[in-house]
Amino acid sequence: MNLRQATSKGIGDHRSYGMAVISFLTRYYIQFLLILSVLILGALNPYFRSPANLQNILLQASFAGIGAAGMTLLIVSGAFDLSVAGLLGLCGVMICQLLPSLGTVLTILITLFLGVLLGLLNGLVVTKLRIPAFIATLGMMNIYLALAFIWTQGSRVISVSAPGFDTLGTGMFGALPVPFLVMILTYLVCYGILNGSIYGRCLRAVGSSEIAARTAGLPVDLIRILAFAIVGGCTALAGVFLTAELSSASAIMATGYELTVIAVVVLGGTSLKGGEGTLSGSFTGALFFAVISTALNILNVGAYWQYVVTGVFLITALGVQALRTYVLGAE
Amino acid sequence: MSNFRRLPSVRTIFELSHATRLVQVAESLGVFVLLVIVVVGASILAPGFFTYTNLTNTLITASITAVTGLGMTFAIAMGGFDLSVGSIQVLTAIVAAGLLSIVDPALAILGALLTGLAIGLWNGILISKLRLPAFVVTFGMMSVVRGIALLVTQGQSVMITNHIEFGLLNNGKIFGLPVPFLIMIAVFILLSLLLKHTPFGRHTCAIGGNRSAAVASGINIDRVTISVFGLVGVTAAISGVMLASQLMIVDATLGVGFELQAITVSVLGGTSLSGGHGNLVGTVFAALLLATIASALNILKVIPFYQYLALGVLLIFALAIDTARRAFIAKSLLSRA
Amino acid sequence: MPRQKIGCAPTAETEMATGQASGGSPEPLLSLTGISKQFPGVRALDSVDFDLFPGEVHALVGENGAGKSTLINIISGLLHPTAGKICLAGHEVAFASSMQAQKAGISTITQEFNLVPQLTVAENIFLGREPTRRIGLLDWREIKRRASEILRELGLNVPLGQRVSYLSVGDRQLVEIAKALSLQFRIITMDEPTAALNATEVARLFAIIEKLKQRRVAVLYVSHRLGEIFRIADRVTVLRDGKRVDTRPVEGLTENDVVTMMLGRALKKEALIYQASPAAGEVALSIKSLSVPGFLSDISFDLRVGEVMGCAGLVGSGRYELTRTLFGLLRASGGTVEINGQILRVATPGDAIRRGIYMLPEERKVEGILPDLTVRENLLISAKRLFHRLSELLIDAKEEQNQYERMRKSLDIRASSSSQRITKLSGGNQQKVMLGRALTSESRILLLNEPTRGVDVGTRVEIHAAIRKLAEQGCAVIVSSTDIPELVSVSDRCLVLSRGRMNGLLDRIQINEDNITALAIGQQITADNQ
Repeated sequence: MNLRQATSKGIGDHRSYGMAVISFLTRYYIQFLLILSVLILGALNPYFRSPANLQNILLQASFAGIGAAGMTLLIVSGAFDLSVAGLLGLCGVMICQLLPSLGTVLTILITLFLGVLLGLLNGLVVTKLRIPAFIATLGMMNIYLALAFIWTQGSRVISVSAPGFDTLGTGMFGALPVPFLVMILTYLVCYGILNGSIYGRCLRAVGSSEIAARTAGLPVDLIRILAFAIVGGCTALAGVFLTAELSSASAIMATGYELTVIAVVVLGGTSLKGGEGTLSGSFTGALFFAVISTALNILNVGAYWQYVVTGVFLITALGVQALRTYVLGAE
Repeated sequence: MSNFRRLPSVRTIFELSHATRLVQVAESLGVFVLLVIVVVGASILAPGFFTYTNLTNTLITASITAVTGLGMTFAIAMGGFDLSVGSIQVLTAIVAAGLLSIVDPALAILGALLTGLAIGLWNGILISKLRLPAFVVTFGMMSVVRGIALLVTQGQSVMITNHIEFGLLNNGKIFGLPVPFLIMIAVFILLSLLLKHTPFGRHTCAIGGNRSAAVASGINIDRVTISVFGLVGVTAAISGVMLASQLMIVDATLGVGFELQAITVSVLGGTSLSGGHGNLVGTVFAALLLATIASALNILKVIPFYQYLALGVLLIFALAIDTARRAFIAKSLLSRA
Repeated sequence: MPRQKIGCAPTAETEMATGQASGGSPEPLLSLTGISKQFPGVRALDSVDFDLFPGEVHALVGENGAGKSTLINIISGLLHPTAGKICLAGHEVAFASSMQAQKAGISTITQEFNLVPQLTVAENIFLGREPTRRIGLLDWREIKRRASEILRELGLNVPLGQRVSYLSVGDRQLVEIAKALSLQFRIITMDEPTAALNATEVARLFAIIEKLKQRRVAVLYVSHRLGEIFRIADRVTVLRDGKRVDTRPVEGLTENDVVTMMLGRALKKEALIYQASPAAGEVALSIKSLSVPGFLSDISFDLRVGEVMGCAGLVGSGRYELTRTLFGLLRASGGTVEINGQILRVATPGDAIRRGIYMLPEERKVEGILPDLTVRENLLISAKRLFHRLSELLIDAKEEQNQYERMRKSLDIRASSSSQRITKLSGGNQQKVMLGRALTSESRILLLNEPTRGVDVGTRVEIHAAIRKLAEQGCAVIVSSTDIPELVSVSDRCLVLSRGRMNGLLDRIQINEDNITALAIGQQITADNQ
C-alpha cells in the first residue's frame, strides 16, 4: 500500500476521471438500460405505453423480483440457491391443497413458514455437510420438485380460488398491482437488513472473506443458514402471488425461475464473488427483465427467445462484471 | 503457513492405518459392490428385471448417461463443472435428427458432434479467457442452448423418417452386446487413456489438484481448460446422438436434468469435487447403478417422480460421503504425531 | 534482457570481499553486485554483494527483517531490485518473473510445496515436461528409468507410483528436490528447509545436499538454525538491517561469531533465575501441558491479570500455533486451559470471544481485513455487543461513529473517512484498525500476534504504550512476535518456544535481546554460560 492510497486524493476513491466514469457506468448500466428500453419501446409501440401494459410489466416483474431480493442477500454472503424453482412449485402446490380448508391468511402464513423451513434445510445441507452451495441446491431442487410431483400425483395443474386470495394476484392498490407493492416492501425490508443491521454487515463480511470473518469471531455457519432461510421465505412469498395470479399451481410452474432470479441479480450489478451487493440493482434488473419479456411478447417474437435472451443477458452481465473487476483492480 | 506443510512423519501407504486403507479400497470398489447388491436385490424383488430385454434396455440407458458422465468426470478432475450438458444433449439430438433428412447418417452424426464440440469450446473460452466461474457460465449457456433448441424446432417434434437404419445405433447388437454399450466402452477406453496416459490428462489433474503448481510447471491453463470443456461438449453430443437413435423422435424438452445425472454418477463413482483425480471406472458403475435403480422402480410400478426424489437424495448422499472421506483422511494423517 | 559479458567478471575487490571460494572454480555461478531494494518507507536491502559458486553450500543468516527473504525473492525472480546488477554465469540478467528465473536454472524450494498431491511421485517430477511416445502417450518406461535414477541418487526410498498426498513432509521435500534435479537446475534455494523435519529426515536431507554438491549444483541455504549451518554449509553470509555484514568460510567460525555478526555485538547471556513476577495479579489463564500434534508439546504457564506476556520463537517453534490454539482455531490433543479455575473449551473463535479472549491475527491480508467493508465496519465487526447483546440488531450509526472517532484518535488512524474502503488504507493504518478491532471487543484476555507489523517507528511506540495501558487497566495480554526488540520493550515476562517446546520463561530482569535470541535458537542459559 502506498502513500497515495493512504491520502486518497482524486475523485472519491478513484485515481482519475477515467476510472470514476468506468466505475459509474459499470455500476449503474442497468438503470440506463431500463430507462432507455422503456423510452425506445414506448416511442415505437403505442400499446407498450398503455397503462394496462405498464401495470402488467410491474406485475410480471414482481414475481422474479421478490425472489431476487432474497437471492441478492444470499449471493452477497457468497452462496447460491438453485433450488428455488422446486421450492416455489412445492409452495404453490401446498397453497392449493390448504386454501380450501384453511382460508387465505392461514394458508399464506403456513406457506411462508414452509419456505423458510426449506431454506433452513438448504442451509444446513450446505454448511453442515460442507457441500458446495450450487451443487447441493441443485440436488435439493430435484427433491423439492419430486415432492411437488408426488403431492399432485403427476404434473397435474390444480386450480384454486378463494375470495381474499384472488385479489392478491389481480388486485390493484391505486395504480399499482398488489404484488408490485409487496415487492417494494420486500426490497425495503431487505435493504434495511443489508445496510442497516448488524446481520447485513455479517453477510457482507462472510462473503468478503470467510476466513477473516471466522477469525473475527462471526458465526459463519449460522449467518449462512439464515441467508438461505431468507431466500426460502422470499421464494415462498413470490409463490403466493404467482399462484394467486395464475389461480392454479403445479410442480413445474416455476421452471427456469432460478435462472431468471440469478440473472436479475447479476444484471443488477451484484458481484458473484460476494462481499457487496446492490438491492436497487436487483430491483431495476427485475423491471428490465419484465420490460424485455413483455416487449418480446408484443413484438410476437416467440416465447422460446426468452431462454436465449435470459442466458445471454446473464453471460453479458458477467462479462461486464469481469471488466469492472479487471479495470478497477488495476487501481 | 498452512497445515499442508506441517504433516508429521507418516511413512508410506503401507504404514497407514487399516481404516485409511479401507477408505482407499472403498473408493475404488465401493460403487461396484453397491451395484452388485442392487442388481441382486432388483432381480429378487422385481420380477422381470433379469430378462434379456430389460437388461438390454437398462444397459442402454446407463450407457447414454455414462458417456456424458465420463466427460463430466474429466471436467471435475480439472476442478470445473458443466451444467449445460443437458441442453447440449438435446440440441445435438435435434441436429442429428434434422440432418438425417438431408444427408446420410455418417454426416449427420458428424454434424451433431461438431455442434457439441463448438458449444463446449465456447464454454471453455468464456471460462478461461474471461475468467468467469465455470458453473455460472455453463448455467447461462444451459439456458441459451436450450433456447436455441426451442427456436430451431419451434416447439415441434422432429421425427426421423429418412435413414431409419440410424436406429441401429440403438437397437443393433454386436456379439450380443447392445451397440450403445459398446460405444460407451469405447469412450471409456479412450478417456481412460487420455486421463491417465497422456500429458494432457495429467495436466488436467494437476490444474484441479494444485493450480499454482500447475502454473509453476509451465502448464498452459487456458488451453487445457478450453480443451476439457470441448471434450465435455463432444461427450454430451455423443449422448445426444444415442438419445436420438433410441427415441427416433426428438423435441426440445428432452434432457432436462441430465446434467444432474451426469454430476451424480461422477461423484457417486468416487470422483471428488475438490479435483485432482477422476475415477472413470466408478462413473461407469455408478451409471449402471442409477439405471438399475430406475429400471427396478419402473417394474415395481413406483411413480416416476419418486425416482427424481431418489436422484436428488442420492446426489446429496454421495456428496456428503465425499466430504466425510476427505475429512477422515486429513484427520488420520494429522493425528500421527 | 541485455546479455553482456561486460562488468560481470569478478574483480579483485569482490574476490577479497567474498572470501575463499570452494570448488576451485574462479568464476561465480551467480553474482549480485550492489543490490538494493526499496519499499515505500523502508529500505529492505542496501547495496548487497553476494555470490554463489558451483558446488558450494552458501548459508544466508540474519535476524527477522534483515533482508533474507527479500534477497531470495530477488534471486528467484519474484522481485526486481531497485538498484544493482545480477550476473548468471557471466551474463547479466534481469528476471521479469519467477518462470524466467526457473528457465535460467534457478529453483526455489519454499515452505509451500509446488507439488500436486493427487499425482504420483513420478508424475510430479516430470510435470509439464513429460516424455512421450509417438502417439502422444506417456512414455512410462522412460519416466520410470529417469525417475528411479534420480531417486536412487538421492537415496529416496519411495515408490514412484505413490501418491504425493500420502508422503511425509520430508519425503515431499525430497520429491521437490528430485524435480529440481531432473530439470538440471544449477542453483537451488532452500528457505528454512528443516523447519518441519525430524532428525532422521534432516540427516537425509544433508546427505542429499552433499550429493548436490558433487553434481556442482550451488545451494543457497537460508536458516535460523545455526547448528545445521555449521554442519552443512561451506560459506555463510550474514545480513543485518539490509546490509551485508560479512561473508566468511564456515571453517574457523563459531556460533557465537555468527550471532555477534547478526546482532552487531557480542551475545551476553544472563543467568536464568526463575522468580515470581512482583506485580502479579490473579491468574487469568492457566495453561497446563498443552499439546497440539505436530506443533506444540507440553506447554505450561500461567497468564496473570495485568501482565504482558511476550511469546518468542522461530519458524517451526510453535509460536504461531500457540495463540491460535487458545483462540479455538486449532484443536489441542492434550492438556487443559483453565479460566478462573474452570476448564475452557473453545471450538470456534466465537466461543473464545464469549469467554473474553480475543486474538489479533498474524496475517492481516489473509485472515484479518474484510476487503469489501469500510474502515468503520472493519473496526467494529467484533464489537462487544455483537456477541453479548443479540437484541441489538440494528446499526446505531451515530454511536458507531463515536466509537470509531474514539479509536481513531487514540490510535491515530489515517483514513479520509470512516466509510472509506479498508483496502485504500496503508498497511500500517490497516494494522491500527485491526488493533482497534481487538480493543472494541472489550476482551479481558488479548492475544496479539505481530501487533506492529508494517507500522512505522513512531506508531510502534504508541501501540506499545497502548498495550501497556491495557495491562494496567486489568487485561491479560500475550504478545506473540518474531520482533525481539518489541518483545523486550513491552513484556513483563517472556515465553520462549523452540521446536514445539518451552525453552524458557524469562522474568522482567532477564528479558533482553540476547537471552531471547539464545533461547529461541535452542540454546540453554545457565549461570556459568557466557
